[in-house]
Amino acid sequence: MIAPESFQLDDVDGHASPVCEIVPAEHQDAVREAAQSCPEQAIVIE
Amino acid sequence: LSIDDRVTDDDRKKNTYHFDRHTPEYRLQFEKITEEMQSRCPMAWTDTYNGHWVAADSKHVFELARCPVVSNHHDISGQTPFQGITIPKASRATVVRGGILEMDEPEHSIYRGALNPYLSPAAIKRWVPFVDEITRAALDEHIESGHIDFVEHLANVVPAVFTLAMMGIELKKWHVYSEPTHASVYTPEHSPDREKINAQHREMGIDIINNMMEIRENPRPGLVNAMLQLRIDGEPAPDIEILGNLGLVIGGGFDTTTALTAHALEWLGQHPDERDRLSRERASLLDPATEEFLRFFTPAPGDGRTFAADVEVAGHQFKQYERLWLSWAMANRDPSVFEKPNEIILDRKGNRHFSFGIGVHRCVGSNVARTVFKSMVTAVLDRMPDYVCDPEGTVHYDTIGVIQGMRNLPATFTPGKPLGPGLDETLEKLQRICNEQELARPITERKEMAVID
Repeated sequence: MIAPESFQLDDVDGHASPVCEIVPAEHQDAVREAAQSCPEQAIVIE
Repeated sequence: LSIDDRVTDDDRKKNTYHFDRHTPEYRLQFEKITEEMQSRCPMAWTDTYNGHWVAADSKHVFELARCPVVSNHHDISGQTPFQGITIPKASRATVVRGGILEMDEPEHSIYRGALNPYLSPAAIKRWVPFVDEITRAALDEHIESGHIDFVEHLANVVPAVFTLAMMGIELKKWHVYSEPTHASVYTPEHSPDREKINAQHREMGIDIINNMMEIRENPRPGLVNAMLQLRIDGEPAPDIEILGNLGLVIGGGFDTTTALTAHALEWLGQHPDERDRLSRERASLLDPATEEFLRFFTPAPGDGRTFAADVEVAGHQFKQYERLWLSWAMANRDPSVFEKPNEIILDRKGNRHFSFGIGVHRCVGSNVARTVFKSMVTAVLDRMPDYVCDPEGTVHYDTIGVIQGMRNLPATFTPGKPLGPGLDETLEKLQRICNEQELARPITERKEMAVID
């Protein structure tokens, strides 16, 4: 995982979900990189 | 959406390209063909195998893979033109469809839901000490000699043993499964070896059926049991679909990770500075490097589909029952997504590669692949850090139409001391641990890490 502080994976099906709505400043670069790396293009930053 | 009659077939198929991925030329000229198709087409019509579409760029592959009208279904009866994921139809795949990879919704999600709790990231993480122990034993068999074939002695062994462990099949039978699975991919239909391999394939099929019958009588944990316990509208899944899904787990679990590992070790052997850097900086580099090897070598280079209805996707019109090849391998070299697409950049950023597929059929075993690959590569970096591959003895598959794989990758290295017993003794121990700790239970029933005593 590129941004393990900002996403959690479901134990059963592995689907990722955000841990909070507002990403703290120190994790924003990792979340941007995760969004750019998501093959399903499923991460949207607002 | 319906297709305007004024759009003739000539218009729709004006970007033609003679595309035959089953020829050695496709392997040898892969980069040139990919560049030609992406600049000239990139959505191409080819006359090969009764005519079919080829999506060669990331945009079309992405949109088509996620389009609900694009079907994976394989009608074994042949009464409808749905032919599943192989182009042309594989001669041996005429009785069983390929599990969830040849199912559409809602059926696909019912079976996949039963597999997920065995294969999710959390489920696979529990097995890491177990996988590392198989890797350790495979290397110990050869560590004192200074010679190893990374395909035969390592990359063929670890994925096979681990897959059987997850299924709940006896570990010592790994070679019954490994040899025909590997050989049937690289052996051409007309080869004199084919009959022997087909016989081995039948032996494997019989062993799977025997396991199904045994586990039905006396349940033991694993993916076989998951399929047997599945209920659809209160009824057990048909045996033929269980068999198809177990075959898919084996086909998906064995040769793909083998191919990835062999190619990565070959490349690292050719680039010793990068190998040393990967070893030194593995804490930050191993994850992106794994994704980059996946992108560049794309072990499963693509999948076939059938259009279930007329549809327009990304500005292109397709007709019902036309066939389509989604090229994960070519999409992975699309310069609009990947800077310097034909170079391996171990710390590549924004690597949204296509190697596990896209959409609902995304590889259910991706975490298995990553875990097993990392175990094997890091163990080689630690224990055979100066290995040199022998180009004379290296054998790539002649064609990369099904799996971009290797048959042999012999190497020499400075001999070392074994850390434990060899493979057979280790598999006996791991079998006991599997049984005692019930490692093959789903994550919903067992959360603890495997303990290797």
